[in-house]
Amino acid sequence: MLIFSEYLGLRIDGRRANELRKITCKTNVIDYTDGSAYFEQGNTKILVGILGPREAKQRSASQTTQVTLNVEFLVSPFSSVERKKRSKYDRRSVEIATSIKQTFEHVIIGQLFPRSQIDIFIHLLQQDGGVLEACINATCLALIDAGIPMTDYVCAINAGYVDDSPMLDLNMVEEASFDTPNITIAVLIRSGKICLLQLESTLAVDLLAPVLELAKTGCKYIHSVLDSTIKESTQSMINSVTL
Amino acid sequence: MELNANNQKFVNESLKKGFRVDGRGIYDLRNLKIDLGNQYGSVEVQLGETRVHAKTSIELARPLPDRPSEGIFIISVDFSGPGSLQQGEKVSGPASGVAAGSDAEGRAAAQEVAISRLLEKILKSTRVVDVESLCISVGEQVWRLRVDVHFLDYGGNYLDAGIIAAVSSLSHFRRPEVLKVGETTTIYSVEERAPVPLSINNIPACLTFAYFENELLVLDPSYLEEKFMSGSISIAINSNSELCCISKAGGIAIEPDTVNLCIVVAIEKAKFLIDAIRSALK
Amino acid sequence: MSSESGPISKGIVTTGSLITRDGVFMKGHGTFVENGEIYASITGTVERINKLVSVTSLRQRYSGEIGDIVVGRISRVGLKRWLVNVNGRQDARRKSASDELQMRKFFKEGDVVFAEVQSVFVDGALSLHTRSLDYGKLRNGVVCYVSPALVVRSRSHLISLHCGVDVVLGVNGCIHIGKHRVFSHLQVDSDNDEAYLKDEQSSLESNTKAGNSSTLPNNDYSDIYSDVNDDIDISTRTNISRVHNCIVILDRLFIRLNSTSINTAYEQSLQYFVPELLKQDVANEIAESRDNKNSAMTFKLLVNSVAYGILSRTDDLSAQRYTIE
Repeated sequence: MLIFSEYLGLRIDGRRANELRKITCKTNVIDYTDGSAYFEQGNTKILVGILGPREAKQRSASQTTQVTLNVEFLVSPFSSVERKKRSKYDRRSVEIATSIKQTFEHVIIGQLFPRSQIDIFIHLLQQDGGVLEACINATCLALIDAGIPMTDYVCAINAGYVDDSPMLDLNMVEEASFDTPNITIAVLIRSGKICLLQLESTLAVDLLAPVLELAKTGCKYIHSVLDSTIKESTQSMINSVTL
Repeated sequence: MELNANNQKFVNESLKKGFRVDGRGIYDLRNLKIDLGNQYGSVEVQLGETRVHAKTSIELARPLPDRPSEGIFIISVDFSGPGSLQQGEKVSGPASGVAAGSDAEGRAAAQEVAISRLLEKILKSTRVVDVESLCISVGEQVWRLRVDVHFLDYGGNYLDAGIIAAVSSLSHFRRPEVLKVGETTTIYSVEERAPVPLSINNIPACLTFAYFENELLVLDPSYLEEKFMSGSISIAINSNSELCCISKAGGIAIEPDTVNLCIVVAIEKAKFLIDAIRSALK
Repeated sequence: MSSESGPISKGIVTTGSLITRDGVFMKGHGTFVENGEIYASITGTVERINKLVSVTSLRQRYSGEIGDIVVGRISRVGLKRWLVNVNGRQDARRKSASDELQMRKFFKEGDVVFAEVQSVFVDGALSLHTRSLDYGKLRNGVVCYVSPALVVRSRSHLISLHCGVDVVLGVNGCIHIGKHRVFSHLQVDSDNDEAYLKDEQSSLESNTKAGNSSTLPNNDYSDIYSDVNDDIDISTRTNISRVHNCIVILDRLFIRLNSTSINTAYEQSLQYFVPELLKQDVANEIAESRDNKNSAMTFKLLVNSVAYGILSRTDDLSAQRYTIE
């Protein structure tokens, strides 16, 4: 199956090599949470709800110097082509939840909330590639919506190579292809530092740097989308409250 | 062992001056010992104080329906007993009533899950074993190959030691010989004919770096260094000096230049590790 | 995007944006310092008071300050104190001034209390007191939760509506709506707080020791800690539910809660049946009518916020079923 048509320079879904899928996002979508976000990147759809910081439910699980972060990643049975029920303790879900927790642990200013906990619930509603990356973006948006202090935005994207051309934002078909190395990268926007980096297939060493550069520009674009969404919703809240 | 803030300060201060607590250079690996057991495929690896045992076994099976011409390769990782990560966080959902210390069925410490997932990814993504060579007759009979990695003693850096053990075990292993003449397939037992080695594509090596304040790096962290590190990054290189896996999950964010530096060092050290494995197998 | 701080700037800063490079300023809430520069850690507006720069957000959890009036629910009865859930980052505490063995006689789990923040612990937990007769247990009503940003700190947090309903606005976003409370001869004036405290202690002691006479009949004090709701007639109950739904509408549309807004919303709502108030189009109309009294509100906001549907907060359903605590 041709993923990259050299003839037209287009990918299987009509995008160019460095084009991202369309991103739609909204904040404050769930009432009974402190912060929430709905995030769509192409056909991958994520819903995140955040509760906290609030009193730690179990004394044993709380820390005296900083906040305890709990992440739960739930996959809807209808999220993939074949209906399949997945437990939240299944290894892939635990792995994704742990990656997200580790990513945000050092970005959230946890010392401000000792003995409290922040619960992050992530629901995967539809998957079409780039699941971990979309979850990170959605969680970042929800955390900002909840007013939880952080040092920076965290934006993530996946990238790969097809026939020596670096590509951004791989969808499910592109990810599954054996010949496409798949790199997931999450960066802190202000400093450009790398929060999360995962490569799970073979790649020649000198091909890494260009694809990292490309991924960073992709993350900057995602940041601009998230930032404008936040600014818009904040502005409308301020408008209504200062009447 | 009780660890506290003083230990942490000591480790950090020493690093700033360029010293590691156990006297190694910052890019030095610990002592590596690969012991081949009596049986083919049974290997015990000691990397510093970390001990891992790996065992390969094989049996006949039907192939998976969507992959009729490939054998089955299973990797099983075990942390039970003395090798468990004592301070590993238990996974308990935010709304569940499970206390931090208890262990319910089906749940594993998050750290253990991470290590076993990474181990699997590295071995599968590098295609260490040529699964097509494990096929005996298409659609009917294939070999099911299984590597059991058992972590025995946690002295820091389970992942690197685990990879060395698994890879050595696979390279050491001998499977029964199969002869195909026309329609008949004969599988010779080990007494009838000498067993043959697996078809190993290439041998990967994994190097884990821990980093501290100001992105000071050390290779192959010990138990103490792992407890106090600000984060770690693991890089797997295959025998063609290509990257096969990078995992930097969690910890403080680092500059891309630090990643590049790690890769450069990893490629150097990978050659050393692969040579060590090869010479141990002779 | 860097916004130089000025007196209450109109600009919105988002997480990670630079506020100022000038080392002269000190960092306040919602900011952090890196390499001598002050950055915003949350999204909101920058406020500058003398040399203190802070960012205020409209979406944060309640974090208390001394003197705040809050409404909360007892979550646990501890050894020497009650733990009160005020929807903050940690539960607040109310220390027992008197008998520790009889703590459940005064407040037990589930009771709703109206208190003032006495002090704030180092880790952010709050200490409450209920020293004046205005404070204490709340009953004969329902509780509803709104965004803390909508309740402004002011002198009076008790609003009495003409229909016989009292609304108690907690700065933590917890609102109690109940039957009008009559303070007969136990009317408090602030000078007598001390005297009241002594009276309370002595009478409570006398309740536990037999035979001592107290300054006021026992009945009056037990009334304060009583759990039993009064008999409330249907019309008052209807009014309580109506006010509750109005407050839910105001919260949903992010309108500040004060006596003007609540009264206006209530009057406008009289043309509808109580359960109808939670419908989107009705909510719009009520908000629009409030419009005519104040300045214009963006219709885009109405459509956006109400369009997310009616996902109820905990006590919405209880209001529709007319249950009263």
